[in-house]
Amino acid sequence: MDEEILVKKLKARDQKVFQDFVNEYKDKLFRLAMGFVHDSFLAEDIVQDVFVKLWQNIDSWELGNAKLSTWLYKVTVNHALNVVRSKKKTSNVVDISQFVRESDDGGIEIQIPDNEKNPHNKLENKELAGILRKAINTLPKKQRIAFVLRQYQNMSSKEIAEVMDLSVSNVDVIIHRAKKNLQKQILKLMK
Amino acid sequence: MKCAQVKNKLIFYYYGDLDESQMRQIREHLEQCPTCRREYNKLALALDYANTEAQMSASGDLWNKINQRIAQTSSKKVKILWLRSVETIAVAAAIALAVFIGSLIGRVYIEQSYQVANDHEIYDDYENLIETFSNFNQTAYLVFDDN
Ligand SMILES: [Zn+2]
Repeated sequence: MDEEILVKKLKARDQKVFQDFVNEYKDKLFRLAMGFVHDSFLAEDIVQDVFVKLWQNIDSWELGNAKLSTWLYKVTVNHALNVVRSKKKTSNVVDISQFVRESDDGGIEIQIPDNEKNPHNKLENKELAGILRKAINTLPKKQRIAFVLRQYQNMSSKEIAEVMDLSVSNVDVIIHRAKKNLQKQILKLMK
Repeated sequence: MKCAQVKNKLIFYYYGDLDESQMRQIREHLEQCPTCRREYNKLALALDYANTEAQMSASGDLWNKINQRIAQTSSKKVKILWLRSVETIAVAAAIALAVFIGSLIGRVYIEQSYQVANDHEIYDDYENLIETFSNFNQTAYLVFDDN
């Protein structure tokens, strides 16, 4: 759908169009968030927040802004970085918040994901997720974002340049540095 | 190629970033050098998992959750307005007064008081997000503090 028509329909609160839009982008944004948080519950919360806020603020969207999709990527990155930062502060505490959800009636319920039922699988993947999180999070911010956009979105340097407001050649240099640093960090953590 | 050279390029080999000749040299080195191979396998294990993450999908009911939250925020706003805000007390008093007067002269005041209530929309959560989302026209810039 043409972006102008899309925005018009979203402004007119067309739920069907919004649902299609969510379905088109939810996995992309989910993977992008995963690249920062490496936790599917957190990633999903991030994606929810982004779409809810888009819906609530669509009235103030003006054509001539950046593409809606570019905006979505930027906001997802910003939100994911905030989540990572706030998690860092509490990382010494055992975190069960990812399993706790507010139920429909306003109460609290605890959900354990399916893959937790397979302890073998869980441990291995959790360990790898932890290594990735630590390794990627040690990268300087620009390197981290550029690497995640490449690795988790398979974006070209041109697309990354657009999201990050950088030149293409700059992006290539940043990704090269990111990979170098990442290798160092991963091998350090996997000794 | 020597071990040190190979070790410097493992991740670029993994991503296929090197030219054909370098790719081949490293492949041959890894075949016969257990030390470098061990390093490469560790790296590949972690990066393979990153690829797994990069192929995951959001849960099927994500839309339902979003839909629910959209519906909730509108009803929540009204609820919070009536339960928490200071204005509520004034509005409640106004309504009480309106009801009282209304019993004498009519129902017009109730409608007017209700209108006041609806003018005070309150966004109650995602405070840390408001900044990011509040103004589309300023777009969302990614702020870097480093390289
Ligand atoms: Zn070697």
